[in-house]
Amino acid sequence: MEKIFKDCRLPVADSGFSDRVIHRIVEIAPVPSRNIYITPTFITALSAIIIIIVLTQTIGLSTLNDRYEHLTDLIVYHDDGISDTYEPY
Amino acid sequence: MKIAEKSSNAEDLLILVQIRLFGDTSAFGALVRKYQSPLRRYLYNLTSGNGSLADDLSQETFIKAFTSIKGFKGIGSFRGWLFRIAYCQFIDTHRTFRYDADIAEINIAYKNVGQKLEVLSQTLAVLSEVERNLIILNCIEECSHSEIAKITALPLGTVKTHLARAKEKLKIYLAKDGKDF
Repeated sequence: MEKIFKDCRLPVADSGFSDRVIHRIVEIAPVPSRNIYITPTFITALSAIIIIIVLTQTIGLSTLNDRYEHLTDLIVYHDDGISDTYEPY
Repeated sequence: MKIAEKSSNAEDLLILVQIRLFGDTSAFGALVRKYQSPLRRYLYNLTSGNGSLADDLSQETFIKAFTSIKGFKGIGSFRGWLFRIAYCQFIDTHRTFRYDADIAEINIAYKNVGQKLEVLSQTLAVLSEVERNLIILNCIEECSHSEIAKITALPLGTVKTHLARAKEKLKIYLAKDGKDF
């Protein structure tokens, strides 16, 4: 009897069965709509606003402005020394 | 639980998460390819070798599994859950449609299993429908007793009793033919 059971455990050939099933599933699967993007976009926008508010409140807007100006000064200072046509030899 | 079985379950869970989060139908295709063989073989044996009915039921099982994927909690194995759906589909079909046990209609796909089925079909004919299902699940599909209990929605003790009784019946039947179990 064990031999009969063992014989019956042989795999069944696919013969395109899986493709037929997948084709039918694709037909009945719900089409994604734009509505699914509303919540993530809203959450991202809200968190961005919160981050900006927190930064300006903790660091202070004037400090941020000073830092920004300092950085632009640095960039201008370094930019002066480099020429587009600079050739070392 | 064996290590291979555990990793297979983990793999299935990953695919299921992909399906549930992103509605990825191609990911479900991987599950269809993985389980088409055991599922079709199970239904083929359950329908006593009616290949076309087994294929129809298998297709309906996969579709039902996809549409009710949220119902799978991931507590048991995905295979067990799939077999449970298949068994319910079979019971529903069986209620409305009494199939002819003519095993002449065997698909080419089933030729491996089909040749051996006549012997199995004759042997299992001595059993009741419930016992036959339990023997197929236990001896051919190699499901554990607890897995069978989940698939058939029978208490574990009842599964063990039915299986022991079925094996005893088969032993007596085969002893008459001078064969061993």
